[in-house]
Amino acid sequence: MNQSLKTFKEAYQDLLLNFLWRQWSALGVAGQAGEEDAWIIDPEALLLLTCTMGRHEPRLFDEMLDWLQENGRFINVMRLKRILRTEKFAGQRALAAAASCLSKGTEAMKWKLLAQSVPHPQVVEEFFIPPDGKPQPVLGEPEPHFVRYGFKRGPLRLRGYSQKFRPAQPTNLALQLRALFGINVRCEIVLFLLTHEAAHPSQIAREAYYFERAVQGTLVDMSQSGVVGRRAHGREKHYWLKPELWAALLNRPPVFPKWVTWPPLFSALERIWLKVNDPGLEPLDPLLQSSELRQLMAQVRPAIERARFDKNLSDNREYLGEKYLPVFLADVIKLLA
Amino acid sequence: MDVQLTKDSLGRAFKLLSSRLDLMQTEPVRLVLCGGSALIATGLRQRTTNDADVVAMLSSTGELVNPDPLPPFLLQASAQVARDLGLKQNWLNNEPSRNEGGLFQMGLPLGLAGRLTEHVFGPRLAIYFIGRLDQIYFKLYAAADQRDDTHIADLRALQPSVAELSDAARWAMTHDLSDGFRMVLTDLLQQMGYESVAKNI
Repeated sequence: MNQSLKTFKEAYQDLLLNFLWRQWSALGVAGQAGEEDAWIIDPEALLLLTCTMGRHEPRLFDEMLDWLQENGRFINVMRLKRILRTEKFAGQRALAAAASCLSKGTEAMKWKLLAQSVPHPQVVEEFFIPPDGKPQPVLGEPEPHFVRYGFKRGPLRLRGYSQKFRPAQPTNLALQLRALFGINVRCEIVLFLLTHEAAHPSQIAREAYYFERAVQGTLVDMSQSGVVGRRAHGREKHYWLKPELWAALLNRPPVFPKWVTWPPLFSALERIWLKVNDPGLEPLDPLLQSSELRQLMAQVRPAIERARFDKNLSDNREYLGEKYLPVFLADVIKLLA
Repeated sequence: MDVQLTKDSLGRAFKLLSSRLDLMQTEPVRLVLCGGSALIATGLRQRTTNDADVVAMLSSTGELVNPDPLPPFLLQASAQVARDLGLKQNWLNNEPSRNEGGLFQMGLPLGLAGRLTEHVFGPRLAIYFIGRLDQIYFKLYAAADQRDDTHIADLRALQPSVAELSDAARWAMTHDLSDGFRMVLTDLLQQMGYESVAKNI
């Protein structure tokens, strides 16, 4: 394998896993405590990316399940499905296996329905992927929830160390609002308006992954409360909130953390990972590797643009042939820096 | 600004195209090329070009077949090669044989298949460059049809004999039967110093 690509693959995996650990830890997963980020965590997008990347880090995947046992009622499964319909994610079978494990107690139905949305495959593969890619023997009786979805892994032993999420932590605004308002469109609307000066219903629907009609109708109702403001912007109606009042209510500083539309960015990061981790890329000559990565970037660039991270990307027309390979690697690292 | 193709960069473009077809696991493609790219690749002329003109394709049994339309997978792969190497978007095209009045559709010179030079770039891509005589035929026709200085310069560089040019002129006139074309052709041959050929057509 081209040395720079090999080094990149290792570095990229480390960066992605560290990033995921940091996000889950901020939500209350037992593990690495790190610096506090200045953005809002999207639990559904995080869950989807972890379903792919967690297969390379068993402890992360199982700690995520542990957290879901404690906090899973705050996961918006309808939104999760809508993200899956809009963005490409590869971990649907892993998600179904996780949902199957969670199908018990008062939240059983929503997880059960999610698990049932994925067909049971005929073949079984190892669930956890070691760094060398070689399958490892599964110790103990394979976990039946995973076997059902075509994965072989050892018995699930959750430690129960995950905590309830910390409501006033800047990154946890979405979960705090869900705890306050419930899992519904109003909560997502308030979250969006608190992090934007004003917004049109279609923008909220698109970036929050809700149906436009639901957002539109709910905003009309909410504006009648006198709490949600409305102003004409050409022929459009834009809605707004007074964040300082909400900050006091939510026991937070007056400036809310940054909104990031995570699902398209996570989808792009996942597709990049799947490509650089593809053993078929290894034996190709540098020109063909560059060609493959240029093609990949053309495919994922629209998603990166929707997440507004495209400022990190170079104009690949200026780097022809093999010259694009190091540029691609540097650009991707910048996305996670 | 699109990158121009030289003999080396043309080979690199076809090598990359071949590799992309391998990755896509397509069926094998055999392309017959005319124009500047064939002149450059066969060493008949040292210049650059910005495209590769497909005049025909070869079937698995070696028969010349219509290149219109080119297979979609080939267009997809060649578009990616264009982006990779900074070439013109449709650097690989079937412009000479794209419609009813195309070279393939109107009839290729007799014996063209036997004068091809084969370059195999991989299991899924073989390129066949037309020979010098067929270049003379095509270049004379294009020069008279389009009055383009590049075609005239290419034709001069090929240093055709009187007999070769006479045959080429007769073939060209089977593609355009009009009196106007005959007049233009006669005028062109005279300007190039081939009065005897001009007199006999």
